[in-house]
Amino acid sequence: MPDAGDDRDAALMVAVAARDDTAFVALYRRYLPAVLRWCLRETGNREIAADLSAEVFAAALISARRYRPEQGSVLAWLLGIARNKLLESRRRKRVESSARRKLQLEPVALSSGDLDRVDELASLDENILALAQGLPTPLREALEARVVQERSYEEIAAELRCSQSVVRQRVSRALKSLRSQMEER
Amino acid sequence: MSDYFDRVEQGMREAVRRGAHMPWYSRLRPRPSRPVAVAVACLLATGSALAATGALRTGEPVGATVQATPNADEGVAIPGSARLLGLRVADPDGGPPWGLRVLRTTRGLTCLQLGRVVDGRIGVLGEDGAFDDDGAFHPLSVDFLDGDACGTEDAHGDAFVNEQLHGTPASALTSHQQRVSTGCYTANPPSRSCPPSDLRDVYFGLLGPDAASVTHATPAGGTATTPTAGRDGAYLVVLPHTVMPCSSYQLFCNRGSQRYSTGGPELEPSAAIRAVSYRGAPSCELPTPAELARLHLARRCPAVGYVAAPAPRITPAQLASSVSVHAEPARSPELLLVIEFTARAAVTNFDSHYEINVDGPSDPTGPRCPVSAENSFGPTQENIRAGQRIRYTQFVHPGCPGRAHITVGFVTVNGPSGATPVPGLPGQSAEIPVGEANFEVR
Repeated sequence: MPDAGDDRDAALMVAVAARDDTAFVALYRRYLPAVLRWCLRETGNREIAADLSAEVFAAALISARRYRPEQGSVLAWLLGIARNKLLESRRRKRVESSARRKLQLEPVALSSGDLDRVDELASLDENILALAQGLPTPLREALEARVVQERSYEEIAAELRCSQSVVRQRVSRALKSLRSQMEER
Repeated sequence: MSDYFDRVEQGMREAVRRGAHMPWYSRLRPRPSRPVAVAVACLLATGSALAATGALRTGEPVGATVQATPNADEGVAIPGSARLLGLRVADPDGGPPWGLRVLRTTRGLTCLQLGRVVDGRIGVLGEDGAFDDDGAFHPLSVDFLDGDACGTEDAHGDAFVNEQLHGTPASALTSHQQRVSTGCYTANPPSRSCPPSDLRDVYFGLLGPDAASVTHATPAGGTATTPTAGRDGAYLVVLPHTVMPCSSYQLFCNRGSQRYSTGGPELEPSAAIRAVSYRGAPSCELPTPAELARLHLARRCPAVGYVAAPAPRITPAQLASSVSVHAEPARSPELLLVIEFTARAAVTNFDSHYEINVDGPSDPTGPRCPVSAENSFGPTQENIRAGQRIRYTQFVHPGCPGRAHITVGFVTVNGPSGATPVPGLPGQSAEIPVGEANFEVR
């Protein structure tokens, strides 16, 4: 039986189809981590995962009016699109971009700093964040400040009175530790 | 969120606003404008002489980053077609002036390239971290093509292209070149950030042979009028980068730093360009930054002087082809849906393409179906011979039984168009039906 979250998502999908951009943003922010995590797991490449996730949301946007809540959750629907886009990309030997082209979206360049963000976003999951409670305090503080609160490394470093590289290292170690715990489950 | 994901979100958000995700027939109404962030600073006069450029050493050329093919996508640069325009604009910090290069591609596009000019060549400076700060001048190679600022040509071979770059590096390193260099690129992310003093806001384009002059903002708050260059109607404005607070009207506004480009045939409102005058046609006035902040719908300058080629008289009957669909085994558990049809009309350049749409199974409620309904679509992206058999494939899951509906259409450019074919948008025809088919996924 659909829960309240499913009903809310279905309402957002209807709003997206009716040109409500704030509804799209709500869905995008809610499901980007999960879609990105799936893409990262399937491709093992952060750059491709980021590119692919953008294509997934573009295709979802175009298909929004066809979404039917009785056929499954929004997340399942998004991951279905992701799967097809991935297979198509593998076949064409390049990340699919037809949906973004159809929407006339400008290509978005990916920088090295963005690749770190892929890791961070892909780790943004309630279950993972629960595991984060078991991390040593310095690691957990850095992780939450960066991933949950979306603060800059510079800002976090100033607050924790350490260098930015130390903050990056703590975030990186925290993510590594969480991944390890997830794999053991 | 990170800069990349912010920009993706902003792009899609704008797409939702203008209804780009809706069927073409429901978009036949005035599109919302895309007001651009306002940022006015010091405007330097076109053609001002600048410092010592002859002392610059020439480094390795900036080459193509992707192996392109002549008959697909944007194509490749036609040998000998690249020409450096006479336009020269001083940089706020001095050094080699900025300039523009125009080239034509094998698929009928005209592309505009921005760079710094040294000894009659256009390229990138090895500064701001670019090319390890080697201090050399790196000319764009003859085959360099980034495909950003490209447009189809009209019946007279003229192109209409406009581009705006906010916060682009003074080195002239563009997004497609950054992978080959270590240079800073934008104000974000911090790991690749340029100091604000090394960023520029650049406005450039081709307004066509009827454009006479461009009126643009000056640092003192007034305006100046500069003649466009040559038959292309080229213009180029280079300003220091100015960060403005984000507002609800700004797009691609990312914590005060932005990069926004149109690449389209229409001139969008901006902080810099106030008006365009034409020979034999009324001037086009654009909103001032103050006006932009109050407007929901801002006017644009259309492609004045565009001469449409005679529209190809192609009827559905001439295009009609049976569309066959069958499934082939693929990576388990998926099936590969193979769609085939005969292209009756040739595709010889960017002015036309076939569009294949696949509506997923209409009843994907099978117990083993891992996903719900999905659909896909795609333009053919290469040249096609008349009579050529086209094969298009799409994965489907056998656990999602139901009917897949496939339609094939033909789309032609019938007006000013950028390098992104979209059926039904201005400048593109609606899909002329070719054929359709159904396939039962079991």
